[in-house]
Parts: sequence; C-alpha cells; structure tokens
Amino acid sequence: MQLYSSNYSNLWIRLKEKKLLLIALFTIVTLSILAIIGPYLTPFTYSEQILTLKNKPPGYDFYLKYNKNNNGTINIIEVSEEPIENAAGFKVEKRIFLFGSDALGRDLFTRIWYGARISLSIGLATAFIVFIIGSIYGGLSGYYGGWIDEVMMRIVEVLNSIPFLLYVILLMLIFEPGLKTILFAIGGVYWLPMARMIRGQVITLKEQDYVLAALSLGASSWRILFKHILPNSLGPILVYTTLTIPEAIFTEAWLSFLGMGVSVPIASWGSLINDGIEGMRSYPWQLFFPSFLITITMLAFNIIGDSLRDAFDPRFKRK
Amino acid sequence: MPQKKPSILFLITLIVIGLFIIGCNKSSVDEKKIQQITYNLGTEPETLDPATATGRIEATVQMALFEGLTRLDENNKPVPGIAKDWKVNKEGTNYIFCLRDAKWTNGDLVTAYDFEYAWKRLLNPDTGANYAYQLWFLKNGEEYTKGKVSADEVGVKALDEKTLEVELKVATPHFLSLTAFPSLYPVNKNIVESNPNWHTKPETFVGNGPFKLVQWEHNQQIVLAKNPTYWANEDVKLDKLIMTMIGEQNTELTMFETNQIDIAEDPPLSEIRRLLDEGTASLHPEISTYFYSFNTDNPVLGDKNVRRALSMAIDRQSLIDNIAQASQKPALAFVPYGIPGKGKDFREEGGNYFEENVEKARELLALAGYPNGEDFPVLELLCVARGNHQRIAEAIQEMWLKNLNIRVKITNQEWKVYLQSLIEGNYQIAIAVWGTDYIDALSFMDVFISDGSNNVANWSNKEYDRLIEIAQTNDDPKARIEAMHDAEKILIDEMPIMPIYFFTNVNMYKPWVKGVIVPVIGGFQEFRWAYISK
Repeated sequence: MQLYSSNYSNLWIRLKEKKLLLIALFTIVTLSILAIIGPYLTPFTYSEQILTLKNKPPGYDFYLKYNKNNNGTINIIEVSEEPIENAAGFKVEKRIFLFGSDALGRDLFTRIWYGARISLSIGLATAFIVFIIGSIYGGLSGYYGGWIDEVMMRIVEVLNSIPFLLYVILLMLIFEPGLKTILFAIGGVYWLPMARMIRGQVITLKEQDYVLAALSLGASSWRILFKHILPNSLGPILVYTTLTIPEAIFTEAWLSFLGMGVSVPIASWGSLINDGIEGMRSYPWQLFFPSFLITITMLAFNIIGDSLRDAFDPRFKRK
Repeated sequence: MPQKKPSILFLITLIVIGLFIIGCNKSSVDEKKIQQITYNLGTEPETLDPATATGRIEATVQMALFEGLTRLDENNKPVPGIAKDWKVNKEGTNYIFCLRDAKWTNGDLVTAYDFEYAWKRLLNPDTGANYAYQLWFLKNGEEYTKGKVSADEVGVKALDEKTLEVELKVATPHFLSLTAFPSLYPVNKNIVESNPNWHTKPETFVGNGPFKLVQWEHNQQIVLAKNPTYWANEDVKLDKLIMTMIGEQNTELTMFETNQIDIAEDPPLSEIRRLLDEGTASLHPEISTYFYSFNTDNPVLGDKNVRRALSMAIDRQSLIDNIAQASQKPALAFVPYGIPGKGKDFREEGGNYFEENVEKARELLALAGYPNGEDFPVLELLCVARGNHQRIAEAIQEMWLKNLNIRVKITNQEWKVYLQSLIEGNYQIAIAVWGTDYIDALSFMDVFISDGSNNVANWSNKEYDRLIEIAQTNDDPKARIEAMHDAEKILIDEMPIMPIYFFTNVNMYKPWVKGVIVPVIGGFQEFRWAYISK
C-alpha cells in the first residue's frame, strides 16, 4: 500500500510542473464559473427576443422601454439607440449586447453561457455514466472471466457494431429529441471502450500478489474487485473519463448541428454554431463565439487528459 | 531525420496549392461564349416520368425536356405548344386540339395517340399516380381511376394523328393552363411500352421539349443540351443547361458568388436582406400560403375560440420584416394573391377576414376557459429543422408566451417523418405550406373539404362542403367564385388553420442570364426562352 500512496503524492508534483496543464485547468474552472453565473450577468434571458434588434454586432448598446407581464416576460414598448423618456408604469434601461445578438434578436452572451451549462453538463454527465457503467461492467467481465467474460464481451461487440448515427436517429424517433435522449444516446455508446479497457486492466491486475493475499485472507470477490483491483486501475480510468468529456461535448454539438439536439429555444454550443453558420458571411460573430469556446474547452480537456496520462504512467511521457 | 520533415510538409503544401490553382483556373477558363447556364436544382429529382413525378424539382427538369399541348409564357398565359391551335365549344366542355409537326428526340412524330396514351396512363389505377386527380376534370376521369369505368370511356380521344378531342365534365376555365402542367405531358407510346425504365437513363430517354437529356450523374448533376428535333429549335438560344444538385444553402451561395453557378434559389435566411439590398437577389411571387394547421381532433384545439385566439395573437408583419425578410404578404385569409376572381384578383375581392388583436385574443382565450392562459396545456408544435420554419416557429412560440401566456414545445422532425405525422393526424399544431397546381382558387379551397386527403386539420363543416361542391360543379364562373368567397369566410371564421404569410421566392440570377421565366406554379425556372448576353 505504501507504493500506492507514494505513487499518488508524486502525481501532484508531476502535474504541478506542467504550465500548460495549469492553464487548461484554469480555463475549465473559469468556463464552469461563467456557465453558472454568466446568464445572470445580463438583464436578458436566453429566450427573450427583440426581433427588431436582430443580428447586431458585439458591443451594440441601446435603450429599451418596457413593462413586465405577470409571467415574467416583458412587453417591449420602444427600442432606440437614443435615450428614451420614461413614463409611469414602464421601465427604461440601457442595455448592451456584449457578444452581439442572433437572428431573432436574442442576446448571444446570455445564450452562450446558457449553452455552456448544457454542453458542460452533458460532458460531465456522460463522463459519470461512462465511469459507472464502464467500470462495473468491465470489472465484472474481467474478474470472473470464462464464459461470463465471453458473453459480456460479445454483447459489447454487438453494441459497438451499430452505427452511432443510425442508432441516434432511431432513438430520436422513439423518444422526443432533447437533453435526456442525448444523454441516453451518448452514454449508451461511450461506455463500451471504457468497459473493454477496464476488463483488460482487471485481467492483468487479478494475477497480482496482493489479490492472492486478499483471497487467502478470505476477502469476497466483490471486495477484491472494488477495494483492490479497481482503485489500482484508477489511472487509466481517470484518463479515459477525462477524455470522454470533450468527446461528448463535441458529439452533442454535432447532433445539435444536425438538428437532433436540444429542443429550441434552449441553446447548446452545437445549436448556437448551427444557427451561426447560416450567417457566417454577414454576421461572423454568431459563429465565432460558440466555436471559439467549444474549441478551447475541448483543447483544455484534452490537455488535462493527456497530462493525467503522462503523470499516471511515466512510460508514456513524451521526451 | 528531423530536418527532413518540414521539407516534405513544404512539398505537400506546394502540391495542394498547385492543385488548388489548377482547379481554380479550370472554372475560370470555361468559355462563356457558348450559350450555357448552370442552375442549382438543389437535389436529385425522384423520377422524370411525367405520370409519377410530383414535385417542383421534377417539374423544373421536365419543363425543359418535354412540351405539353400548351406552354405557359411569362404572364402565365397558355401559348401554343405541341398544339398548333384549338377549338372550344360554347359550353366550354369540349376541346379539339390540332397538333403541329413535332418530333420526339428519337425521330418519331409526336401524335395525338401519344397524348391519349399518356393521359390514360396517368389516370390508370395501376400507375398509382399521385397526380391522377389532375385529369379528373375529364369526363369519366375520376371514375376510371377509381375502377368504375374502362379506359375507353374516358373523355380523351385521338381522332387521327394530328387531332385530339377532349371532353370535360364541366366547363373548367383553367383547363388550358393545366395542359402545360408536367403531369399532362405526352410520352412516346412505343418507347414506354417496350422499356418501362426508359426515363431513368439519358441513352433511353425520349422527350419532345426544347432540351434533351445528355448526362445524369446521380446526386451530382444533370446536363441538358439543345434538342435539334424540337419544333422551334431555332428559337431556343441556349446550347447547354447544367443542373447541379447542391443542397447546402451556404455552399450554393458561395458557388453563386464565385460564378460557378448562374442561377441559385433560396439563399440562407441571414443573407437574404444583404442580397436583396445589393440587388443580387430578386423577389418573385409564388402562389402559395404558409400556415399552421391545428389538429381539431385535439380537445383543446377543437375549441374554435382557442384557435382564433392563437391566430390573432401573433404579429405577422414583424415575422416577415425580421425573419422571412422577402417582402411576403401577411396572410389574414387563405387564398393568396395572383388568382383571378370575379373580375379582379380573388384576394383583393375577398380582403382580410380577421385582424391581429392581442386584447381580443386574450378575451377569446378567457371565453374558452383559460383566462390569462392559466391551466392551458403545453401544446406541441411540429416543425422541420430547416432555417425558415425553425426561426418562425421560435418567434411564434415567444409571441404566444408573451401575449397569451401559453407555452408550446417545438418538436423537430425529419421532412418525410413530418409528412407522415401530418397525414396520420399525429400532431397538435404543425407547420404547413400549400401551393397550387393550377391557377384557380379551388386548388386552395378544396383542400379542407370533410374527407379531403390533404385536410390535415381533420376539420369538417357541412356548409363549407356544400359551397365547395358548388364551386366544383357549377358552370357559372361568377357563382363558383361567389361560393368560394363564402367558403373562405367560413374557413377563416372557424380557423382550423392559422394563415401566416403568402410566399415569395428569392432567386438570384447572374446579370448575363436573360429570358428565364419564373412560373408561379409548376416548376422553379422555365428555360425555354433563356439566353446568355455578356
């Protein structure tokens, strides 16, 4: 056990040396914070439309005269670039589209951070699903071996052979397109390689002396698997899980891009890119902001994943 | 070794750049002196057989490849096509067409027998043609399709090689325009009988139109060339017509802007304003209506007050100005502009049948038992994930929420799945478009008769059915139109559908493209009189 813990204390030292990793971590943390507080930083909601102010460039400011409906939506009375005089029962505010507005006059800044919530939570939720299903399935398959392993792995292979897009389209026909279906679709596929990898790990680890020792002390299979074998393969599991996050975000993005993603007016980065690509010539910011964010998010997660792998397994370290 | 890598990379870059330059050159070297137009059709036609084709994509290609008894000119008036002239009896129910010396691309003469054969083929229940009803104006036409009478009793007969006699059920004013419609094109009897797949390959394809089929690369392009056997081939100026099949709107626009295609339609929504302002794109009226269909079988939407409330609570002009952006006209009735009525335009005679009024809409909603939108269930709005539809749906969703405090959920379906849901009545509110096949208000009004196959709202009204029957069978044009005005009033009062706007097409032509006609019905572009002038 001594070896085990010293391995992990070295890990932090090895990780700290990498500036790139720190930048990546900082990026992810910043993005997550903005995803949480971002939509509250503006007076807009993600679905509020000011049709007359569509496709405005970043930094566009204007005055808005409105009153509130009792369901929280607002009635726009007047919109102007010049200050407007107020009247009783109305409110006048100066507002600004930090990142510009989209084709329906919605604030892109608000939508992007709202979309960040959706995209990041899809990434994290998928990673979690993959982590749980993958380790249990792969662990059991590898540990018990024999015909159980044989059957379980054949099932994985069969599932793996179904083309992803086809399966997603079928799912969308059965269930309603939306967040749950996307999670179900992505989670339902991404655990497969995870299970295989863990099975491989377990098969090697179960021949180790400490497993034999635990066995001779009378530990149950369950205890051996979850207390001894899986914690020792945590390294690869963690690496794989981290790398699943950007992949899931990207998969959601292209599902949304194909129109099979979250239902409107909810935004995800993918659907924002899809909306933005149409106006790519005249209103490039609508495409730029979500694309830029999705790019740095994927880059950051990939750097973290790579660094984790280097740290866990020095053999992989690049010279 | 490490030093070698960059040089290989450099070489690859050079090659790629080189290829790129060569590729660019090729298109710019293209001789523009020959009369050639490249037009983006957008997608692959399903079939070019006049009997079974239905869409506008197919019609566009067929219009170039075939010619019917008549052809529509730029004013949408029928001008002589294969028919040299024709006689009509006083009642308007009997037509004698006199055919000219026209040839098929294989050299055969286009005869009246070919027309008789083609029309009976369209009506034949074995053909299973969706557009068979186009010929139900013929005496015994409908009966033949429904298997009640034999082919011999149908009111079309070739008296000799050059004379075709047509008998109609009742006087049908738009019949002559209809003979220009692709479903009614002739086919070469010998060819069709000897090879059922004659229309699938350029080698076996036989047409009689201004152009002939030269090449058909599936999902790539269709190449047409001037047809030397066409009766007026001296009058056809275009040598070559290329129809590409680029579905992506942005790619299409890029290709148009880099002169790879000369005619493009339907640019991306975000670019429409700019293209219209620049003068690159132009607007062309189209006789069709954009509307939302309410499924009246739904308990909530079964209430007329709810339907009216929903319909009155949206701002159509704002949708047009800010989203659709192609100067469409707000629809406060169902039949679009451009259809003749008693003397003037049908729409202008009828006027608007309701007004947008949020206050009134709220009252109606309260009357239906949902004051201030309380307890109103979340309805589902069925949409297809394509630019225009999606954005308008989102804007309407927001308008209903703001004005009526009603929430709807937008569900996207793939086009074919959506059509299926619509036909099965498996929806609550759905987007819908209705265009016309012939210029008569009836083509809009007969959609919503009780058992109409396109009555997707599942709406039924006896008085409406009665009025439409008058319009279908009455010989007096005035009485017909009057009945349809009354029927439309009922339709809009009951509001099984929520009209949104009347369409326009946004087309882009290179300045050197001349003489292309945009038909208001049928296909997208008519190339018979087209030419290039640089």
